Amino acid sequence: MDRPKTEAEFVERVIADWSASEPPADFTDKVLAATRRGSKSRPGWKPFAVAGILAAAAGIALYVQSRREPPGVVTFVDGAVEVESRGGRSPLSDGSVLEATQRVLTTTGRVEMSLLKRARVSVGPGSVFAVGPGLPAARLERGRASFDVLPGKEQFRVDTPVGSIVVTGTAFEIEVLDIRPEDEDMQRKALGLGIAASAVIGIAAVVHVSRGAVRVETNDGNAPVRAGQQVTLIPGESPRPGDGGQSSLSPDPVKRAQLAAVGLALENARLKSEVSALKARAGESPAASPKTDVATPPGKASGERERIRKNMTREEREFVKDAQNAVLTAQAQELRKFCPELVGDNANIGDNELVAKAATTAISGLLKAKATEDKEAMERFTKLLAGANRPSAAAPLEERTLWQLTQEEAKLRAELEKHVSRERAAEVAEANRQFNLSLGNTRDE
Amino acid sequence: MSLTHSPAAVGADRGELDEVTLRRAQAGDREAFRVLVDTYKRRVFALLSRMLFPRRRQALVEDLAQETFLRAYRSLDTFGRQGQLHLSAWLLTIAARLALTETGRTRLGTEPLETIAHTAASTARADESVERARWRLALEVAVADLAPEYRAAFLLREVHGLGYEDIATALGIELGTVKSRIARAREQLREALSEVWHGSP
Repeated sequence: MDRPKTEAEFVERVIADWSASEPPADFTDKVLAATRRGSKSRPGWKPFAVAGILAAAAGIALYVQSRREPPGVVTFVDGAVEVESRGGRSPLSDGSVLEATQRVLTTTGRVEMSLLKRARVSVGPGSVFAVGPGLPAARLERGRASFDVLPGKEQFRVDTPVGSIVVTGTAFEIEVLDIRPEDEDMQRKALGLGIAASAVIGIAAVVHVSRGAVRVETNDGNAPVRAGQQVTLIPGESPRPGDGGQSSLSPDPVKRAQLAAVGLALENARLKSEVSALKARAGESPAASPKTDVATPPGKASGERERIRKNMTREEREFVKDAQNAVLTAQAQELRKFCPELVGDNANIGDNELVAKAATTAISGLLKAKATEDKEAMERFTKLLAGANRPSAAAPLEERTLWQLTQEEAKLRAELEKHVSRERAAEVAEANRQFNLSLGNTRDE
Repeated sequence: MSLTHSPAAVGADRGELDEVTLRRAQAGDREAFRVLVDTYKRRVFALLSRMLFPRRRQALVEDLAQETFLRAYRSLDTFGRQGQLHLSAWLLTIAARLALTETGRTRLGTEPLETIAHTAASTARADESVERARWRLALEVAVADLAPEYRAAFLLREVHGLGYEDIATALGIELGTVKSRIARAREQLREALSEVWHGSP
């Protein structure tokens, strides 16, 4: 290499000569293999994806033909945000146009967009958001989003899995929570938002209105929510707005805890019989089945298994009911003893009401304390909340708490995995899903 | 002094995929997509490895390169719809964004100089003369010193020949900002390399 004559030439030469990584020989093959993997849509999203393909195709055709105003325009993207359309996903970038029913998935990122030049929307991390179906409307399936909607002739609607928010011109925020028994982080988060942690398993949404007024519509009723108010949408309960979180507490957390426990107990009973049947088939001793308070007879024939399952279910149901009642009594006893101010003048207050009141007081207190950063009050209310939510150490049936049932479920599932082939596991998963669906239906009743 | 493009910088890598192959790839033809990857992979690797210097771990570069093409694959049908002309600019935009996200996450560019020098030295090629190794080291140290956003703007412009407008879109910044970033990056590099130039025998 000749020595460069000028400094400029030298700099050019250095840059030209700058080493860079070379792609490995099999790089193209790897990419093509990955496209095959990546192009499959996730099974859970399938119905939406199919609808998305049709709607997106129709939307694009319309857009191209008429050059109408696009439903959504992305104005800001930060971090990992993807758009799901035509069964595939791609990264979302600033200036992208969003068509109705395309879904925006924020994993770690967040995104801001303008909808129909009428609403400014900011979608937080971990959310699933879609424009439409129908306009002017949007849908928040999971996660958190805040909306600033300008007044207009038509109403603007935001759907969530647990209800819709109908607005004319207002600013509000929605958080849709998928609270699962195994997801402790989400339970903590729900707690922070005023939903008793152990009390809800399922999907809930919290709506906070900062300006104007909205109307929330659910299957269980409608309610107006004014600025400064917050409302929690929980399936099976009519929405009740209140000041900054107080109303967002379910009136009866114990009831929901019971339902959740029953759900888990039912599931565990089913899993247990599944495991013992498989063991019987494999010729193993049924005595090795997980130790439980309720005897687990060995399942030999499928007919018998069915019968056992039914019996178990009923037994478990009774058992859990008793357990929860015992826990409730113990909680109420403790509250009467340590928090007499809750009882106040109402000496006849029922156990159920007392525990609910404790949770309500604790949560509203906690939220206020948080807002004013009063650490001492925060600690006090956290303790009170713990008293209202957690079974007393003196509870005779403590081991049958939700947590225990969840642990048991995990164990049973692990055991089931051991015995079951992959295909069988898929069948079980489907059965579980159906089961959960039916459980969801009974819960709504 | 101005840094003009050196034809040698990317050499044969300047071309674009022909229109027919592009249309076929957009229609989902896998063989056409294979040609697309083969056409642009060296440029994507070059950008990513320079963006990610001094943490030029081959595995990371390869991961991000793969992600670049996967994202391109998923939204290839949208290419051209917003008036983009060059597939190379579009791909490098995706790669640059991925690299910036990565550098943001790992706080790249804050490594002590020793680490950079060590990395540069350890990647020295056997066929490299002492003098060329010194130049390269000086350049890499200077580039490593640039903030990731400056580095991205500089690389896209000076090495990959993207237009200012494309860079502005790629990095989501104003045209004026692009120009000032590149100017500042040039100045910084000129200063760094000037020492080597004047210090050379």
